[in-house]
Amino acid sequence: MTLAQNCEYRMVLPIGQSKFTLVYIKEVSSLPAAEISVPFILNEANQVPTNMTPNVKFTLCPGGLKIGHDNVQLEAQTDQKEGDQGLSAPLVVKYSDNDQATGAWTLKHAGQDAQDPFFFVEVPYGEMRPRLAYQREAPQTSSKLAAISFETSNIKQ
Amino acid sequence: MNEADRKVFDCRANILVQKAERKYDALVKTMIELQEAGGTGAAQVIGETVTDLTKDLSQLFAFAYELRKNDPQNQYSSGFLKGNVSPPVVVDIIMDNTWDSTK
Repeated sequence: MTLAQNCEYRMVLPIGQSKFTLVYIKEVSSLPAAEISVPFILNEANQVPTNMTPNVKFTLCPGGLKIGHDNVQLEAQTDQKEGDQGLSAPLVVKYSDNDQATGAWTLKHAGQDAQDPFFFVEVPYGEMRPRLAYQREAPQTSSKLAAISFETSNIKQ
Repeated sequence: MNEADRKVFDCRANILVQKAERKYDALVKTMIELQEAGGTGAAQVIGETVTDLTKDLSQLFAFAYELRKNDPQNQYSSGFLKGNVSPPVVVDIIMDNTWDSTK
Protein backbone atom coordinates (compact mmCIF):
# COMPACT_ATOMS: atom_id res chain seq x y z
CA MET A 1 0.00 0.00 0.00
CA THR A 2 1.20 3.49 -0.74
CA LEU A 3 0.10 7.05 -1.25
CA ALA A 4 -1.01 8.16 -4.69
CA GLN A 5 -0.95 11.71 -5.99
CA ASN A 6 -4.11 12.65 -7.88
CA CYS A 7 -3.11 15.99 -9.38
CA GLU A 8 -0.39 17.20 -11.68
CA TYR A 9 1.80 20.26 -11.24
CA ARG A 10 4.45 22.11 -13.21
CA MET A 11 7.81 23.27 -11.90
CA VAL A 12 8.33 26.78 -13.25
CA LEU A 13 11.48 28.89 -12.83
CA PRO A 14 11.24 32.66 -13.33
CA ILE A 15 14.57 33.69 -14.88
CA GLY A 16 14.78 37.36 -15.74
CA GLN A 17 11.73 38.27 -17.73
CA SER A 18 11.16 34.70 -18.92
CA LYS A 19 9.68 31.63 -17.36
CA PHE A 20 11.19 28.20 -17.80
CA THR A 21 9.44 24.90 -17.16
CA LEU A 22 11.02 21.58 -16.21
CA VAL A 23 10.29 19.04 -18.95
CA TYR A 24 11.25 15.41 -19.39
CA ILE A 25 10.58 12.46 -21.69
CA LYS A 26 7.21 11.18 -20.61
CA GLU A 27 7.37 7.50 -21.50
CA VAL A 28 10.04 4.84 -21.40
CA SER A 29 9.13 3.84 -24.96
CA SER A 30 10.42 7.22 -26.17
CA LEU A 31 13.86 6.75 -24.66
CA PRO A 32 16.77 6.23 -27.03
CA ALA A 33 18.60 3.76 -24.77
CA ALA A 34 18.72 3.05 -21.05
CA GLU A 35 15.82 3.70 -18.69
CA ILE A 36 17.25 7.10 -17.79
CA SER A 37 16.92 10.52 -19.40
CA VAL A 38 18.02 14.05 -18.57
CA PRO A 39 15.39 16.66 -17.68
CA PHE A 40 15.59 20.17 -19.10
CA ILE A 41 14.18 23.55 -18.32
CA LEU A 42 12.41 24.87 -21.38
CA ASN A 43 11.49 28.47 -22.09
CA GLU A 44 7.71 28.68 -21.88
CA ALA A 45 7.71 30.60 -25.15
CA ASN A 46 8.63 27.31 -26.82
CA GLN A 47 6.31 24.41 -27.42
CA VAL A 48 6.87 21.27 -25.36
CA PRO A 49 8.07 18.48 -27.71
CA THR A 50 5.42 15.82 -28.26
CA ASN A 51 7.45 13.08 -26.56
CA MET A 52 8.02 15.22 -23.47
CA THR A 53 5.84 16.50 -20.63
CA PRO A 54 6.04 19.33 -18.11
CA ASN A 55 3.60 17.65 -15.72
CA VAL A 56 4.86 16.25 -12.44
CA LYS A 57 3.24 14.71 -9.41
CA PHE A 58 4.51 15.36 -5.90
CA THR A 59 3.94 12.07 -4.12
CA LEU A 60 4.55 11.85 -0.39
CA CYS A 61 6.92 9.11 0.75
CA PRO A 62 8.58 8.46 4.13
CA GLY A 63 11.67 10.39 3.01
CA GLY A 64 9.91 13.42 1.58
CA LEU A 65 8.45 13.97 -1.88
CA LYS A 66 8.87 11.88 -4.99
CA ILE A 67 8.80 14.12 -8.05
CA GLY A 68 7.74 12.50 -11.28
CA HIS A 69 4.85 10.57 -12.64
CA ASP A 70 3.76 7.05 -11.71
CA ASN A 71 6.96 5.00 -12.18
CA VAL A 72 8.95 8.00 -13.45
CA GLN A 73 11.13 9.66 -10.80
CA LEU A 74 13.45 12.66 -10.72
CA GLU A 75 16.74 11.80 -9.01
CA ALA A 76 20.19 13.18 -8.37
CA GLN A 77 22.53 10.64 -9.93
CA THR A 78 25.01 9.93 -7.18
CA ASP A 79 26.34 6.91 -5.34
CA GLN A 80 26.70 8.93 -2.18
CA LYS A 81 23.30 8.77 -0.57
CA GLU A 82 24.04 11.06 2.35
CA GLY A 83 24.78 14.18 0.34
CA ASP A 84 28.44 14.86 0.99
CA GLN A 85 29.88 18.35 1.27
CA GLY A 86 30.19 20.04 -2.08
CA LEU A 87 28.20 17.37 -3.82
CA SER A 88 27.31 18.10 -7.39
CA ALA A 89 25.37 15.54 -9.32
CA PRO A 90 23.63 15.47 -12.67
CA LEU A 91 19.89 15.27 -12.51
CA VAL A 92 18.25 12.30 -14.18
CA VAL A 93 14.79 10.92 -14.71
CA LYS A 94 14.50 7.21 -13.98
CA TYR A 95 11.75 5.16 -15.56
CA SER A 96 11.29 2.39 -13.03
CA ASP A 97 9.88 1.85 -9.56
CA ASN A 98 12.20 3.33 -7.02
CA ASP A 99 11.48 3.93 -3.36
CA GLN A 100 15.11 4.60 -2.49
CA ALA A 101 15.97 7.69 -0.45
CA THR A 102 17.92 9.16 -3.38
CA GLY A 103 14.62 9.70 -5.15
CA ALA A 104 13.15 11.85 -2.38
CA TRP A 105 13.12 15.64 -2.41
CA THR A 106 11.78 18.37 -0.21
CA LEU A 107 10.84 22.01 -0.70
CA LYS A 108 12.33 25.01 1.06
CA HIS A 109 10.79 28.46 1.07
CA ALA A 110 12.74 30.71 -1.26
CA GLY A 111 11.21 34.05 -0.34
CA GLN A 112 10.90 36.21 2.72
CA ASP A 113 7.13 35.97 2.69
CA ALA A 114 5.87 32.52 3.64
CA GLN A 115 2.82 33.10 1.46
CA ASP A 116 4.94 33.26 -1.72
CA PRO A 117 4.74 29.98 -3.64
CA PHE A 118 8.47 29.98 -4.50
CA PHE A 119 10.65 27.11 -3.37
CA PHE A 120 14.05 25.58 -3.68
CA VAL A 121 13.83 21.88 -4.50
CA GLU A 122 16.45 20.13 -2.42
CA VAL A 123 17.54 16.76 -1.06
CA PRO A 124 16.00 16.28 2.41
CA TYR A 125 19.13 14.92 4.10
CA GLY A 126 22.81 15.71 4.51
CA GLU A 127 24.47 18.80 5.89
CA MET A 128 24.62 20.64 2.59
CA ARG A 129 21.27 19.51 1.19
CA PRO A 130 22.05 19.70 -2.54
CA ARG A 131 19.32 21.46 -4.46
CA LEU A 132 18.18 21.80 -8.03
CA ALA A 133 20.12 24.40 -9.98
CA TYR A 134 20.56 25.54 -13.55
CA GLN A 135 23.52 27.03 -15.37
CA ARG A 136 23.53 30.76 -14.83
CA GLU A 137 25.12 31.54 -18.18
CA ALA A 138 22.65 31.83 -21.01
CA PRO A 139 19.87 29.39 -20.21
CA GLN A 140 18.34 30.77 -23.46
CA THR A 141 15.80 28.31 -24.78
CA SER A 142 16.66 25.27 -22.71
CA SER A 143 19.22 24.14 -20.16
CA LYS A 144 20.19 21.03 -18.28
CA LEU A 145 19.68 20.85 -14.52
CA ALA A 146 21.90 19.61 -11.73
CA ALA A 147 21.69 18.98 -8.01
CA ILE A 148 24.37 21.04 -6.34
CA SER A 149 25.46 22.35 -2.97
CA PHE A 150 23.86 25.74 -2.36
CA GLU A 151 27.24 27.23 -1.42
CA THR A 152 28.70 26.53 -4.84
CA SER A 153 29.29 29.74 -6.77
CA ASN A 154 28.26 30.50 -10.35
CA ILE A 155 25.15 28.45 -9.98
CA LYS A 156 21.81 30.11 -9.65
CA GLN A 157 19.13 28.33 -7.70
CA MET B 1 -7.97 20.60 36.43
CA ASN B 2 -11.04 19.12 34.73
CA GLU B 3 -10.95 16.00 32.58
CA ALA B 4 -10.83 17.84 29.25
CA ASP B 5 -7.94 20.02 30.37
CA ARG B 6 -6.11 16.97 31.69
CA LYS B 7 -6.52 15.27 28.30
CA VAL B 8 -5.09 18.29 26.49
CA PHE B 9 -2.23 18.49 28.98
CA ASP B 10 -1.32 14.81 28.58
CA CYS B 11 -1.59 14.85 24.79
CA ARG B 12 0.49 18.02 24.57
CA ALA B 13 3.24 16.39 26.62
CA ASN B 14 3.21 13.36 24.32
CA ILE B 15 3.17 15.55 21.22
CA LEU B 16 6.23 17.49 22.33
CA VAL B 17 8.20 14.28 22.86
CA GLN B 18 7.01 12.60 19.65
CA LYS B 19 7.77 15.71 17.58
CA ALA B 20 11.23 16.05 19.09
CA GLU B 21 11.94 12.36 18.42
CA ARG B 22 10.42 12.62 14.93
CA LYS B 23 8.03 9.75 15.64
CA TYR B 24 5.47 11.06 13.21
CA ASP B 25 3.21 8.02 13.12
CA ALA B 26 2.74 8.23 16.90
CA LEU B 27 2.46 12.02 16.67
CA VAL B 28 -0.38 11.80 14.16
CA LYS B 29 -2.22 9.27 16.29
CA THR B 30 -1.88 11.49 19.37
CA MET B 31 -3.12 14.54 17.44
CA ILE B 32 -6.14 12.57 16.19
CA GLU B 33 -6.83 11.45 19.74
CA LEU B 34 -6.61 15.08 20.87
CA GLN B 35 -8.89 16.23 18.06
CA GLU B 36 -11.45 13.62 19.07
CA ALA B 37 -11.32 14.96 22.64
CA GLY B 38 -12.28 18.38 21.28
CA GLY B 39 -12.12 21.77 22.91
CA THR B 40 -10.36 25.03 22.13
CA GLY B 41 -7.23 23.88 23.92
CA ALA B 42 -6.96 20.90 21.58
CA ALA B 43 -7.27 23.07 18.48
CA GLN B 44 -4.58 25.40 19.77
CA VAL B 45 -2.13 22.58 20.49
CA ILE B 46 -2.73 21.04 17.06
CA GLY B 47 -2.30 24.40 15.34
CA GLU B 48 0.94 25.17 17.19
CA THR B 49 2.33 21.71 16.40
CA VAL B 50 1.67 21.96 12.67
CA THR B 51 2.92 25.55 12.50
CA ASP B 52 6.16 24.48 14.16
CA LEU B 53 6.60 21.63 11.67
CA THR B 54 6.31 24.06 8.74
CA LYS B 55 9.59 25.70 9.76
CA ASP B 56 11.28 22.77 8.01
CA LEU B 57 9.16 21.44 5.16
CA SER B 58 11.09 18.15 5.14
CA GLN B 59 9.67 17.52 8.62
CA LEU B 60 6.24 18.63 7.50
CA PHE B 61 6.27 16.21 4.56
CA ALA B 62 7.40 13.33 6.78
CA PHE B 63 4.56 14.18 9.15
CA ALA B 64 2.14 14.60 6.24
CA TYR B 65 2.99 11.13 4.89
CA GLU B 66 1.88 9.60 8.20
CA LEU B 67 -1.10 11.93 8.42
CA ARG B 68 -2.45 10.92 5.02
CA LYS B 69 -1.75 7.26 5.79
CA ASN B 70 -3.70 7.48 9.06
CA ASP B 71 -6.52 9.54 7.59
CA PRO B 72 -7.85 7.73 4.52
CA GLN B 73 -11.32 9.19 5.02
CA ASN B 74 -10.06 12.80 5.09
CA GLN B 75 -11.54 13.46 8.52
CA TYR B 76 -8.58 15.28 10.05
CA SER B 77 -5.97 16.30 7.44
CA SER B 78 -7.67 19.41 6.14
CA GLY B 79 -8.45 20.74 9.61
CA PHE B 80 -4.90 20.13 10.78
CA LEU B 81 -3.24 21.81 7.79
CA LYS B 82 -5.42 24.65 6.53
CA GLY B 83 -4.57 27.93 8.16
CA ASN B 84 -1.44 26.47 9.73
CA VAL B 85 0.60 25.79 6.56
CA SER B 86 1.73 28.43 4.07
CA PRO B 87 1.60 28.86 1.17
CA PRO B 88 -1.65 27.04 0.37
CA VAL B 89 -0.06 25.12 -2.52
CA VAL B 90 1.79 23.02 0.08
CA VAL B 91 -1.57 22.05 1.57
CA ASP B 92 -2.83 21.24 -1.94
CA ILE B 93 0.17 18.98 -2.61
CA ILE B 94 -0.38 17.12 0.66
CA MET B 95 -4.14 16.83 0.30
CA ASP B 96 -3.83 15.56 -3.28
CA ASN B 97 -2.05 12.51 -1.89
CA THR B 98 -4.48 9.76 -1.04
CA TRP B 99 -3.85 6.35 0.45
CA ASP B 100 -4.07 3.67 -2.23
CA SER B 101 -4.71 0.29 -0.58
CA THR B 102 -4.48 -1.53 -3.92
CA LYS B 103 -0.74 -0.81 -4.41
